[in-house]
Amino acid sequence: MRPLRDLSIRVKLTGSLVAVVSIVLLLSTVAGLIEQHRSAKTAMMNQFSVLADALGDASITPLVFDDVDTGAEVLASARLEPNILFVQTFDANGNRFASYQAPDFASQEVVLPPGEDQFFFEGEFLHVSKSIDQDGATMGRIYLRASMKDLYATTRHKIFLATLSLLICLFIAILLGSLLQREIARPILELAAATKKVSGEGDFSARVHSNAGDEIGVLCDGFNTMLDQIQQRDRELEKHRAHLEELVRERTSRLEAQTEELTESNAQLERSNQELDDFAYIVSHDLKEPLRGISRYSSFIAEDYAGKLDEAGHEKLETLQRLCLRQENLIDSLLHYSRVGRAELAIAPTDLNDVIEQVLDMMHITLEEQGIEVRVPRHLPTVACDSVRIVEVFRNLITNAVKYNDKAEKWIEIGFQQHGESGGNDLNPTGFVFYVRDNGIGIREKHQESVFRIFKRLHARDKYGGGTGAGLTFVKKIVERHGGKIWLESTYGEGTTFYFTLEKGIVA
Amino acid sequence: MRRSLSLLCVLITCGLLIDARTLDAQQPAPQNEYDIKAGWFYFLGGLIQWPKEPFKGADKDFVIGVLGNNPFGAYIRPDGNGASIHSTRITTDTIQRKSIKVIQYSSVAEFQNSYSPCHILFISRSSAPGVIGETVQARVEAALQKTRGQPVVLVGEAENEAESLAYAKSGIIICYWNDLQEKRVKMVVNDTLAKRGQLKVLSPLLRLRIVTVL
Repeated sequence: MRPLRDLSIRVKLTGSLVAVVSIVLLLSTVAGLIEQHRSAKTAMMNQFSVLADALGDASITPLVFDDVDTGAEVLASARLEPNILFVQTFDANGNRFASYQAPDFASQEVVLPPGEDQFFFEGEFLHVSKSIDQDGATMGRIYLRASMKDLYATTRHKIFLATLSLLICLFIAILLGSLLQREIARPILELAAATKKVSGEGDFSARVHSNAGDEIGVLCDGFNTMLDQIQQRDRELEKHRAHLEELVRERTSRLEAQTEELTESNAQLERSNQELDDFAYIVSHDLKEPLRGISRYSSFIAEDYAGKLDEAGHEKLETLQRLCLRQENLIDSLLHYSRVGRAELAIAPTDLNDVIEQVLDMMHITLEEQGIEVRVPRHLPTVACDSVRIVEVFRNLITNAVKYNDKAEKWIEIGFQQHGESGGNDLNPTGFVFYVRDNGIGIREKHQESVFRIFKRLHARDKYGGGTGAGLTFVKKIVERHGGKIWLESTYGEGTTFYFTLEKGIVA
Repeated sequence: MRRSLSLLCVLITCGLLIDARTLDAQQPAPQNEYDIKAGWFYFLGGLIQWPKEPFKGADKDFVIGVLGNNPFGAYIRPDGNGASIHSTRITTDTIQRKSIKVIQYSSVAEFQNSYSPCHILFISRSSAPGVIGETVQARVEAALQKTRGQPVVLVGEAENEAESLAYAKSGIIICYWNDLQEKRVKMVVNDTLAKRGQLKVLSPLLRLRIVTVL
């Protein structure tokens, strides 16, 4: 069936029309022929029945007067009907009376037995047997045999004519079919061609022309309308796209401008920072020199003029020396800070466990004195960083944790969180967040921002062991130079946790 | 005359008997001459047309007169008020759907005295028992004389064709004769005379080979 389905609609239409016409014609012709043959047989039967009646009636007188010759003469009139081959009359007792035989017919066989009136067709013959009656009394019987050759010849002729007319009708059907199908198939074929053009070449300007008001016409109109709508939509889309492109271009240029501005500001900022660092370095370096002189000379005075100075003089000299030392410490811190900002980082894979060990070694006396428990819950990773600076970070944080703790049982916990383990401050989705936690005095919320400011101290100068107040500033600087961030969480009176990240690269 | 008639009967019978041996075994025994003639009354009733009312009472009864000896015996029997035909060919009590009435005139004298009109008057070849010296000719003449101008079919019987022709010419409308050669009864029909007497003999009868039409 597949090849049939793939045939053109034109062939299908013509084919179906011709098939239907052929079947109808064939059936009606066959039915007509059968009916004609049947009615011809009936007509023949009636005709020969009447003939038998007529011959029988005419035979009554010869029969009753026992006149065989006249009987034969009467039957001889059957020669006028060439289809009658044989006629035989019988008297009332069933004896053969008179007969007629067609010239070229030899048989005298009587096929029908005497009895009731009978007719039947057998082979090429019609057999008729009728009784001869007069006034209700049976005078005899007549048997007639007729040839059906004429009937068959007529039927054959009719079949020939019917076949001829069938062929002519079929030819006309094919002719009409091909004309009609053209009318029906043309718009469909056009529609198919247009569809192919649209789907194949993407040409939406294709249109189908149909004046028909039938379903195909509706289909064609619908198709055209659909294409119109698609074209309209395409135009609108094109318009929107152009507008969007313009918008993007505009935004991009604005962004570029902003980026440029930002880059410039950054460069300026960097320049300023650099200048500031340089300035800090120079200033601190230069400031140190006279300070050293003041300190040395105050020592000289204390040593050389010890006997000449009274108690008050000594006190003031000590104060001068203390202030000088403090000033020197401050300048050192400043120098260190500017060095931290200026020096190149020596980034290398660093095992943080070694770093912690190093720091704890340096501080072990202090830790033991304070009785502090240092906890490292799990093995720390190896990261890419400047190990010297990271040692400084951990040393500063641990020093602070040790310093600002007033509890009886002091502890420090050093650890890290991986992505997904920390809370809302997880700024590095792929790396680690390190922390140093203590159960110290904590930091009030209002001071939590200012702890990273240089020389900012929250307590009296000598309280909690003193110091310059620059440690957390160094830590912040180092972390930032590693591309990381530092922040803290603290509950005043309970403890503080410093978190920081390192963006320079995670090794393991 | 009577001798020759008896001889004819014997001959016909013998001839038929001899012939019967060669005939089909199914064929019945040859018919008696009067068996045939009795049956023919019925068929003549159908093959001859009488005027509308030939005589009074003709519409009720089909009247057959027999002049001379009635030779039909059991072939035409009295039946109730009328008679019925019991021939081999036909058994009936009506002709032209009328009751059959047979009137016997034993002698010419009786005929002349008591003749009443009839459809067919059969003039017998033989005289009735007890009537002596009455010839066929006398009966024929009496019949002709008595029925002149009336629509009566006179049926006679002769010994041979010549006699039959002679009778017919003299006025008998149908005259039977026995063909000894063919061993069958034939007849001469005087159609001219019949027409004159307002009788119409139908063509099927006239067309028969056994009928000589005058």
